[in-house]
Amino acid sequence: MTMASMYFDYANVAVFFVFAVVFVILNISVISVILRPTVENDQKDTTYECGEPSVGSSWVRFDMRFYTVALVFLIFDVEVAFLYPWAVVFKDLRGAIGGSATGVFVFLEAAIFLLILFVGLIYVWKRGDLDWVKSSSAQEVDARQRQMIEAKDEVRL
Amino acid sequence: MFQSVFAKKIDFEPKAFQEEFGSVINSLKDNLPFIAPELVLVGAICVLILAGLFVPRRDQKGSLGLFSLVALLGAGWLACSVGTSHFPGLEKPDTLFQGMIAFDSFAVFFKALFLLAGAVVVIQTYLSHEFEGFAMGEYYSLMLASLLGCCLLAAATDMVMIYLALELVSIPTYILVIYRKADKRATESALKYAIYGSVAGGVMIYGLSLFYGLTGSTALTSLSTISMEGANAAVVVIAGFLVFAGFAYKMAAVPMHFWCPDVYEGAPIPVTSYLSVASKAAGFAAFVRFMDAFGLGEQIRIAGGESISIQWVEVVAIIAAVTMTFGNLSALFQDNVKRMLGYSSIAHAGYLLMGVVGMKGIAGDVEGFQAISFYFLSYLFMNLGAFTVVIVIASRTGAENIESYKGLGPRMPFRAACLAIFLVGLIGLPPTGGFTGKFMLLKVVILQKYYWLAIVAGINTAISVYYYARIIKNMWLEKGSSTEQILASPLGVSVIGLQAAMVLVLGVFFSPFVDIIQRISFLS
Repeated sequence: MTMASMYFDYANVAVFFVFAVVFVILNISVISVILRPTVENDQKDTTYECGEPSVGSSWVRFDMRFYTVALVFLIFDVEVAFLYPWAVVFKDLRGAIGGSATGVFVFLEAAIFLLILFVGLIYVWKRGDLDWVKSSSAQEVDARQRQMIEAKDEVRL
Repeated sequence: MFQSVFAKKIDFEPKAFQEEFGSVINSLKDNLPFIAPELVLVGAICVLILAGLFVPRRDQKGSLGLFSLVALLGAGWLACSVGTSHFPGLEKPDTLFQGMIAFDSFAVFFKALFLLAGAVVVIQTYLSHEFEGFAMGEYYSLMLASLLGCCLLAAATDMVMIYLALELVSIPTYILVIYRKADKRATESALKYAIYGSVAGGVMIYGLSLFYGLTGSTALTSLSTISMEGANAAVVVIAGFLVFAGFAYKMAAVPMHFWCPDVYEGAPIPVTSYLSVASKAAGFAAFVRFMDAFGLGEQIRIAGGESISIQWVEVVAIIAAVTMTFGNLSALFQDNVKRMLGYSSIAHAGYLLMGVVGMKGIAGDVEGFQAISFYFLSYLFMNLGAFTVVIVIASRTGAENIESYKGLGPRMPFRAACLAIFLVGLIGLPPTGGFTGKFMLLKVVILQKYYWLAIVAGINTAISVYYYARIIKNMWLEKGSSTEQILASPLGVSVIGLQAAMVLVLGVFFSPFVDIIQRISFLS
């Protein structure tokens, strides 16, 4: 590659970059100001919550259970994402070298993968993380642990 | 858009695809027996998660601990037998899983080391008072998950695999540190640890991505000089330092050591002892492999046909000197035993880095990475042993301060004597394994003509005598407030005694072990 052609490639990038910056600035601060109608409304200043009317401040403490649910969702979402490509090639693999033994091996691999995730499902299920309304016994155990540690710390201090 | 996908489907030749994929799948299948120890760990992790849910909480520490112990010893036995049955054929080491991990004697040795350390830590957990009334299923499964990461890290020969394994070592330990979640010190240290670890991991993977950009491959072997041809020297230097940062975090080497004392103090003591041996050793194993592929002070051909030489060995030597000096000087002023051992473990990272300096052994009968392997073998018994005694003392008397160790010697003579042996080993005095290990490290450094580094290490050893001997002095020469005998459990006494015996054996009767480590080699 010659020096000149390299600089030309950089020029392409520079033009693209300048265009990107100008495009955004032009659209947001120039064209939209000229074209848009100006209607003052209090509702416009409120937080957008998926179209629902917003209730209270957004600076509140969130329940940790949202986090657990999101985590569980993520795991099983990824599981599906992994299984699709596997399912697509599985039919072709049956006839691969090694014959049906290879197919069985590939099937077992996916089965073990599912089994490991199933252990996770049992875990969240047994711990009651799938029930939104939690029993109070789990919370009592946590409270008891905390008391024990605090009592021990006092002894040591 | 969709049309083009279907159009491609017509070109697709099932026969060729089947042959290629079939051979890949078959090679994966053939590789499976060689990772038997890892598979055992995975199975044990699943069982422990389930058992933690169904076994009554008060029985968990004992029964799940026993299960983990059996699983770890079984995996360790498998690692040794799979490894040794292939040692004759190991003249030509091999890689597994399409070059992702190596199956060489270096990896086998470190796997056995981690699994043994894990077994000791499980016993320490049983002896510790810190987990009374806790659900232990998660604890043991996280511990085993982290050990699985250690095993993979010691064998990883691919940059992506190194990063994945490093995170698999780190992430479970963040949770282990905060296992007593109501403990304020643990919360503080776990937060520091997690933030520090994520940043170090991010920095490291940025460096690895630069190497990928330079070489076009994620394999460690591609880091050799030839494939770097045409690389910009500045980029190589920056990428090298970024990756060093990730390893230095795991090894607790200056300047990435800040998490170490806080986490060691805040974590439950068995977790501290795990961090100080297994996860540190895993970092060193990966670093040795990386440095071997990366080359120490070799020529890099840069754009324009010129070549430059980057003396990485100088960088490592300076880091080693700074790390050991910093660790020792900071340890002098500590009152908390855990914190003191934290700084001492930073100092030991410095000593061990000397082995990396002397890695390309020129004349010695023991090369640098072999000296590191031997030092870790004795460090395992010395450090884990010291922590075991610290756990027993903390459980029986609640004492974690060096001041409160006064007069402990006559109250628990055998265990205090063993602690003295461990501490003498950590100083590096004969007749302990610490002396033999340090002797080897110094020897490889001197053979490399890094005399200044050897002198710094010698001065540091002299400094370290003060703070280690202070504990021994407090235990035996000072008078304590109580003279009551401290209860001994058969398990605790036998584990401590065995470790002390091993420290002495490695110091006096070390030739069989030196024979083993001289047979260690790794894929390069």
